[in-house]
Amino acid sequence: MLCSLGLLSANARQPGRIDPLGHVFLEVMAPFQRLTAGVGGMMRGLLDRYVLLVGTQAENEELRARIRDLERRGTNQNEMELMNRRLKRLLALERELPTKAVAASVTARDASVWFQSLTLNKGEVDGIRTGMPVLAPEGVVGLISSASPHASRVLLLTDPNSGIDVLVQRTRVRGILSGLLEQGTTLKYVKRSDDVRVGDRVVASGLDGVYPKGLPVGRVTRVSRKDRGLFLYAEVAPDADASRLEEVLVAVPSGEELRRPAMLPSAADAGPPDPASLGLLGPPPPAHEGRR
Amino acid sequence: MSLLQTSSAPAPSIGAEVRATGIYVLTATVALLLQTTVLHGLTGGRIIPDLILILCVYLGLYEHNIGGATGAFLLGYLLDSFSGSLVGLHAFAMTTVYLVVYLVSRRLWMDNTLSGVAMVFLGSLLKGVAIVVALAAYLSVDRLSFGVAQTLFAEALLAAALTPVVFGGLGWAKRLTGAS
Repeated sequence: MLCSLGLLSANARQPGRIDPLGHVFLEVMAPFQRLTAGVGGMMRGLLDRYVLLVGTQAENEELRARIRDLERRGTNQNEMELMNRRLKRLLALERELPTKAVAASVTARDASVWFQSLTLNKGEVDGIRTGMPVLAPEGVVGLISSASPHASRVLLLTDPNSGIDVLVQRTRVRGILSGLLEQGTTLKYVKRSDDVRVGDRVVASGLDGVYPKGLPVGRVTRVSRKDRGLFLYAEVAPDADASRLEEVLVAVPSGEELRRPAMLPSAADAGPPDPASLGLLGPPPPAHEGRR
Repeated sequence: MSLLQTSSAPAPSIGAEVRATGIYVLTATVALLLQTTVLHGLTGGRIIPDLILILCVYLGLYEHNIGGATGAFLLGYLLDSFSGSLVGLHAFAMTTVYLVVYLVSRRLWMDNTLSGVAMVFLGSLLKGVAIVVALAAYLSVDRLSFGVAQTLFAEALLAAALTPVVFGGLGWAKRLTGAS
């Protein structure tokens, strides 16, 4: 006690001057302090990198899931936007048709490379019957070749068994448009002296009683007149590309004579789309209620 | 390839026949689903591998009984229901292919993959020709161009290329279920 009091008194007068063991203690303890600090740092690092990593991993998983969800939502939104546009055009066509119409989705395509047909998700229950015309905003697609209660098959105008009575719009020349075994369609029974040129628009004549008159069918892409023969040979590229079709309209005759449809309006003129009313998103609508 | 088949396999049991029929039905269903949906997307619809024809050739090679012939007809009829509009066209083509493969396999040794590939290739060509001939007989088919022959050939090559997979899968399924 006396020593401590003496030390205290001496250092009170001149602080730090009398400290015989202070440096020794400092020197001896320094390595241990560094070691302790190092081990502490390691422990903290261990804690941060491994023990707390469980939480980070969970957070990482959560963030990844959120990214996946956002990406999925983005894709869905794009898909919905595209479907919206297609349905808008389909709706515009439906409004201009002189008959009722049933919207349907394409569920399958032809099983063979030699023929051209589609399978639709609507059938007799929805009012679809064999022989009804199938249309797209771009033009004529084909006709119903067979129908079951909940599905139907469309014979495309590019099928070799197909035949449509058509007019060359510019010159009113009549012919029969038929599919080829290889891809494409040809205009049959047109006299070689008739005026048909590449680029001419071909429309439905309405004389076959199936397709409304004036509906666009395609454009002439090739004309050839041989030295012999009564008829010319003309190839026509259909306006409606069946390989890209996802939704179509099946025109349901109401019993009255088919009237000529007005000019098809652009998609911008059409009202807001209602996919559910077309039966493409929700449950199928009741039979014969495709038209509002 | 000129060896005559002299040995005859023992008749399979009814259970084995039922299991084999189940495998054929399942294979035909999957093949049709693929041909009408997925394969269109993969090939753009220009050339579709005819999996059902491969199954028909398999029947011609390994099912020498009334069941095999009926199966070939039904495969064609199934195809008719999902292709074209002339019902009976594919049934005719498939039955023709079955008959020819059956007759060839009765006279030549046809028990390896290579001969199966060759038979599928020829069967595919035969089916295409049978379809064109039938179409020409029942409908007016004019202007058959070189494009038709190209498509025929490409389709036959594609079918031949897929033959080892289909034959292998069928053999495996039959061994697995004890149907062989």
